[in-house]
Amino acid sequence: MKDYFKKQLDTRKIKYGDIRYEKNNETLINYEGRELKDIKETYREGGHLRLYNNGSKVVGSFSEAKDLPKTMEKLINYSKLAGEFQKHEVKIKKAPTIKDKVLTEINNDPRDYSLADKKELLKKYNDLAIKQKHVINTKFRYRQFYSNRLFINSEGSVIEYDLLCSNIVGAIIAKKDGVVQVKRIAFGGYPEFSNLIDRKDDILREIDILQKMLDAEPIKAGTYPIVINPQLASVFIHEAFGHLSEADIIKNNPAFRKKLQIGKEMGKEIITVIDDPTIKNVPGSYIYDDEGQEGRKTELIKKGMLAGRLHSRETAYSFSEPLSGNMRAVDTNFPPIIRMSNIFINKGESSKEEIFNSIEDGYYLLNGKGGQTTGDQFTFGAEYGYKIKNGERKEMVRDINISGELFETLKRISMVADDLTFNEVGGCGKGDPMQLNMFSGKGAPHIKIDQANLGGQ
Amino acid sequence: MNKMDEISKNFDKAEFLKKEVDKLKIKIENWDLENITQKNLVSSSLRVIKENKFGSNYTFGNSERTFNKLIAGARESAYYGEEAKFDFSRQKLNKKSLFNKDKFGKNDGEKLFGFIKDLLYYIEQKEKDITFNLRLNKSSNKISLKTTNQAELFEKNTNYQLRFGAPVPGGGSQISRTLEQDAMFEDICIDEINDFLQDYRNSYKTSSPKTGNMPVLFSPNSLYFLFVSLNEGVSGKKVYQNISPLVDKRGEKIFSEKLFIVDKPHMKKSSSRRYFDDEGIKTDRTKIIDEGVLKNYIYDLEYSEKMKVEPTGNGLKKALFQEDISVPVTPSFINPVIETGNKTKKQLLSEIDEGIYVTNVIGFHSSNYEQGHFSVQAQGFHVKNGILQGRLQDVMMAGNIYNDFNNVIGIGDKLYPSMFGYAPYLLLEKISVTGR
Repeated sequence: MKDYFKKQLDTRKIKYGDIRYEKNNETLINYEGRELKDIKETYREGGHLRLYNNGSKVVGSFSEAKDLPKTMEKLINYSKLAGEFQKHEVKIKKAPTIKDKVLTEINNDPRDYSLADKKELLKKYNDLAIKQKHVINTKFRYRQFYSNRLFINSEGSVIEYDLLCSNIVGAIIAKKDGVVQVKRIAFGGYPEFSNLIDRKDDILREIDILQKMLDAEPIKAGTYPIVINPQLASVFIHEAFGHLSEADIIKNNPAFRKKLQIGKEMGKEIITVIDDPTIKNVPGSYIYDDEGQEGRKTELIKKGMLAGRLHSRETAYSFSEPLSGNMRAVDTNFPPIIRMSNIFINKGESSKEEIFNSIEDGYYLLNGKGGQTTGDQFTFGAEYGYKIKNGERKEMVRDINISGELFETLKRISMVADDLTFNEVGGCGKGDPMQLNMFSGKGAPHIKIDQANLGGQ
Repeated sequence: MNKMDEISKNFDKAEFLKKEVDKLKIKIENWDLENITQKNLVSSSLRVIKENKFGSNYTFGNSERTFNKLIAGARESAYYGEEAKFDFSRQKLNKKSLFNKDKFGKNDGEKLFGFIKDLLYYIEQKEKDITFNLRLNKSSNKISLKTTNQAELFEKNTNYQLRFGAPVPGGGSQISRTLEQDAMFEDICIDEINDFLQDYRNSYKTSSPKTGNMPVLFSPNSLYFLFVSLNEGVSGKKVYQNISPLVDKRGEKIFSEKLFIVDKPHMKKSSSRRYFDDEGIKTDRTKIIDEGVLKNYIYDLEYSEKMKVEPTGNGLKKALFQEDISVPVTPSFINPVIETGNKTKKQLLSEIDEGIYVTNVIGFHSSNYEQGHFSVQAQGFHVKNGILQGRLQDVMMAGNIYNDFNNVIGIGDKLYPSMFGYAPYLLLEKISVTGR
């Protein structure tokens, strides 16, 4: 197949081209309430072709290797048409030619377990959750994804690599006196399957919180100082800042390119933000991205100053900045786009107690439940929280959303704790159409934001 | 041996769904061509019953190898699966879209680029300093479904979708418009462009109201959060599971008597239009809300069987942010539409003494939307005496659709595509807004 793909690229007069061909195996098991809704192991394959030709970029997906010549022909024709329309030639940065084969080696491989084993494990967790007081429904899902990928480009790179993960995510829904609350759980096998085993105590701990959420009062909307836990702080840095560090988001937005020049002061000296695919055993770890580039550690904010950005070869050329290896595609249906790997706020020097003690009247908010950004505006939810009075954690609150403007909010981060923690399970939605990437990690320590807009009921 | 024969040989009963898409997308960013995307893909799903146990599988591609793996995976799925609780479709339909006046075949690219050139030229003459973005899609879809119960359904449609916009001054959120057609756009939609430019020109200043309850004018685009929440409420699945806040509310008034919401699967312009659902059940117009009264729930095969009612043709492979062959079937609106009223956008604005005009909401899925709650960042404009004062900044809006949509003041006279369904402009009497 390598020779066939290479021949297709070599025999056409194109400026640059690459092909990514994937063979993907996915296992899915779903419980809803007491019902097993879905159990299957699927296989799919297909390819994606990208051409930089005649000054333009044209990309296309195809179902089978034999369809490649037809797709190539169509894209070359579109590039000719586009060339007449294109005002500025699209160029890509020079990159090393790589020939390599790197396949995952792990101790506890999910593929070594039977479908029956995985079903039994998920059923055990689901059964445990559904029999608890006030629980009216559960959703537990096991997902395992293995992707074997071949990348070939017209410059001579040939890379065979793979991605593997397994995870269990669940939502436990409880109702009391007309109040419905949802508690999420997430266990990640990135890549070790053993991380998913023996988690009954974690589920019971989450259900205990859920029971308390049913009796909590909705938060009162307003502006407050807040402490946010590592899980929520990691969602904040991913959603509010991380996406703006992806160069394809701002490449064609002159106002943001001006605002986000390297060296710009983004926050206090205590803030350092890093993206790093080379960290092991977290969701966004990889060796090569889907553009044939090595994934590299990038300091995005260093001691409060904007220090770097995440790039494709195209944006690295456009910004005259170093390659970072952040082009990822969820599968052959999609072109690669710039994605965070493992983004995190680096640990600071304060203790969690010091942060609490600095707050007279505010909130402690925990765990993200989804977020959304448009430009520099963000909104994300917290699962639950507590009132803080004179440094002490008081009554629980629920139904919490936080919104704001990135640049102001970053400047309001006044304390960073020393307890950096990564989320077990990854996830990020980006693109049009939306690509839901499960290989996206995030981490943070506890942080304090001096003033945050909270929306409640 | 044809595919259905091969499937019949392996299972007691089966349903084979195949979707073929041929899609072309041209993307312009900051006036220049960003890229062209072409997609030509086949995907299939197989749901089966073997020894009274249910199984399913899906794949991409059309080769013998992927088909064989599709069958093997479905067999394994049924082996581990649970008792089958519903039967597959027995219906027949052959529907090459009646409205598929696809004027452009092989010369698609040239025609699409010609249209884009005209549109860019018009806007450049009017407002050359904005960062203008545009996306034009052409999508041709063929969907077929066969079952061992002799169901045989086929439909084909072509859609064109245009979305254009610009980030507000300073580069933040985007002001945009979306238009859809079943045939290529014949003109460059000057009215919509001018309306968009008017909003854009009002975004140079910022202005936010004081915190309080106030009138809110929703743009059609922003109303998708209402459709998503209502979809959860009327879903036969959520009703059966006793999670929906609309359990036992059929026949009761849940919204303002001014509101009529209908699922219109055959709407000519809509890119969501379908003549049968992903289970081979013919779709039909379904009244959901009539004068504010809840009229119907929506069902797929599984939950219609569980609730002993007829399926409504709403079984789609669709989740909140995903619609493809890999998603399990669930009850979902095909193309929900809020019926129009009799007021122009200008008239609706003039009825606001002080309030906000919301063009987009962000973060709705972080709220408990299944119960109708929303707590979102409101993007749009501060309005005083019917005049836009400037773009909103740091404004949140919270409430519950089953309370707040009881107070509708007025409804616009024209339908536009929302991110999900179609809606006119809609003015509510008051919503809790956190501003200055």
